Amino acid sequence: MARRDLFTGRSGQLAVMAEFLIRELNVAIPEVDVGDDIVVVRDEHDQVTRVQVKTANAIDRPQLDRFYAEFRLPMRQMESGPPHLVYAFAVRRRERWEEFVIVRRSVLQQLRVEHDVGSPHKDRLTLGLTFTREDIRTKGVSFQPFRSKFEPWPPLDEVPEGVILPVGE
Amino acid sequence: MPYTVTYRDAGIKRHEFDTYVRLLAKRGIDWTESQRVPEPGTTNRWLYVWPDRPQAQAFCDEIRRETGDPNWDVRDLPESTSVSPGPLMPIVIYMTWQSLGNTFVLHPHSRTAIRRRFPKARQVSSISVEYLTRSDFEQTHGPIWDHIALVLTGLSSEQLAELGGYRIYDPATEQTVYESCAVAAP
Repeated sequence: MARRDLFTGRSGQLAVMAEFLIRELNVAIPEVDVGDDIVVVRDEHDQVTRVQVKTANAIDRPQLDRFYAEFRLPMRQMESGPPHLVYAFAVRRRERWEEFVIVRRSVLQQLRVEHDVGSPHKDRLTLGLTFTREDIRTKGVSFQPFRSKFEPWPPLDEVPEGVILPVGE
Repeated sequence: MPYTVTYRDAGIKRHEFDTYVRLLAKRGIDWTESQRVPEPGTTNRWLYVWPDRPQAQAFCDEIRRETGDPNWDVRDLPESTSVSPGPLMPIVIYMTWQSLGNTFVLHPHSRTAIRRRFPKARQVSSISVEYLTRSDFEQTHGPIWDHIALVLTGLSSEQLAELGGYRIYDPATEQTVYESCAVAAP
């Protein structure tokens, strides 16, 4: 991995950790990296959730008042990773971490299999998200319900309302 | 004459079969209860039977586009073919390996199938069983699979049978570990 990517990745990880901390959810980085970037602890229940952080730099399309970000996920983890794993997608734009998208792995996998979300290539799945002020779209599905969805924690194991759009929208 | 859309080599690959089912669902076809014939080269997997060639061809064109693979074909079925109603595949349970035991989750298509056919079923998101717990149980009571399937799906044995039974699948090795009522294609 390029040096620049390593620094961007760690920076995004710390930004996601800061978002948890401000919501009074404790966080830790596992001593040995076995695929989880962060563990989040809800102190009152001793409940631990694994979080995988993915970062991307926004590609701005100012004339359309939108921007685009692309993330790559290991296909094997998508298919058979820990059932309670949560993905935190962080987007860097205008010199700051501007957007966070929080999706449970099982929900993303449901959207992949049933709604063709993401583009598989060999052992990777590429997830491209287009952001506007009001919505986040990918392949006719809305990710707006996942926007900065740090609460409730952990996220539910259901595709939330508003993700599957009526035909033609 | 009835028709199927199938892959040129026997046995549609797992990801392609997911696409096959997704595209049927997109057309409003209930794949949990449809006219079907056994898929050659597989056990307990079936192909949807199209009543006419234009519909079959349109589906074939779409799945070729989606998979980027031209090896999908429309096949004529002889009038004598035995077509039966039922699900195109059983309930699929993924079994993954953790340090202390196995974790079981439902395949996304299976979650939806259960929700559609039995909306009141109380599915659980996953079950984890430690290796020692499983071994203790199996020494006394035999295979644990039925228990896992019943708790995970929230269905009764009869309801599970209505959906074609279940299959425990290990995605790491791409092997079926157990099949509750395997039916081989002729």
